[in-house]
Amino acid sequence: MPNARVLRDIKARQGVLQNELLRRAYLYVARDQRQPPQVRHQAQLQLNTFGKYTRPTTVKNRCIESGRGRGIMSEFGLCRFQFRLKALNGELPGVRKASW
Amino acid sequence: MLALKACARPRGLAALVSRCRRGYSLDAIPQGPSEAESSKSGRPSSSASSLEGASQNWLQSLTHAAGGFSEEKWASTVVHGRSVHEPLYHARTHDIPVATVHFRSYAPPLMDLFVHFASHAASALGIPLSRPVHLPTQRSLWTVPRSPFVHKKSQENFERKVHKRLVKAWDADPQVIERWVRYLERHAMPGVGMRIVRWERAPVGIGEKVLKNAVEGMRVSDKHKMQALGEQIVKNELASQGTEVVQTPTSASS
Repeated sequence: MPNARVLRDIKARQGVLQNELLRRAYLYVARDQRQPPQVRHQAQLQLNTFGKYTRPTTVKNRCIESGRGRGIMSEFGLCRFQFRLKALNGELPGVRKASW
Repeated sequence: MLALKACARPRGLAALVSRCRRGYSLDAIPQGPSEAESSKSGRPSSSASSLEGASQNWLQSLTHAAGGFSEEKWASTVVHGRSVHEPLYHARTHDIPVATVHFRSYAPPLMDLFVHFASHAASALGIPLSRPVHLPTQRSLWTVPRSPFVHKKSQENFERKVHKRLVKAWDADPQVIERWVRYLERHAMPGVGMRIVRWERAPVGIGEKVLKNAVEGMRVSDKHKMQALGEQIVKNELASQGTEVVQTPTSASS
């Protein structure tokens, strides 16, 4: 069973996927200089009604093993400690202890 | 008491002349019509072409006669263990590049084996090939704390080296290259990645021809045919919905 934070992140990712088009459209209208200010204001208000699980800023890479939010290496999707454990076990292809 | 050393994989000309235990060739020099200098058999050079041969790449002049020297002939000089030696590198006829193959791997011995295999395959198909070129190795380094929590001062280094090789193919027909590529993909080695770039030559005026064909395909030449097609589509749609087909009063085709 993944972390509570991981579940929230999954929810955010799904929400962003479903609402990206809508959000982009509203944002475009709200930022368009040629539109009358009332229209722009309305578009911005509509944008504010979206929940937090539709905002792309809510999405954060998390460790797929432990669910840690910090120290993530995006190439492996792992946090630094899990990376070290797997690398020492030989589970990461091509990764070895460096010595020079 | 002489202890026989285990031979390293012989390379180049050394492969032809060496009498390594695993496999050796009877003759250093292939028998050809205009045979040039030979190191083992002291045959005097007679023809004029042999003098030109001396100015060329000395290895090529020894392994490739002026006429068509096939891979079978070279292979027949090898007693056994043909794949132990370097393949016969055919001379380029027109210097036209046809394909490049990039190999990438974390394990150089595996990749060298596969490159050797690919070179032999190309040589057997008669494709002039370049020697494998070693592209610069990519090295990624990660320094990571050893502990799951704090203790930043004690860290551990991990690296990953990606080794690369490049082989260029020249002059061959597109069908031959297609064969070679399919053979390599079929016998791909796990742990070695391959990327193939191919070039094919098209005659002059190809762009115009392609455009003309496309435009002609789009233009509606026959209105009646179009109408008939439209009715056919309607009929199919209705049939798929399960309703009865209604006979249209006006039909273009009799």
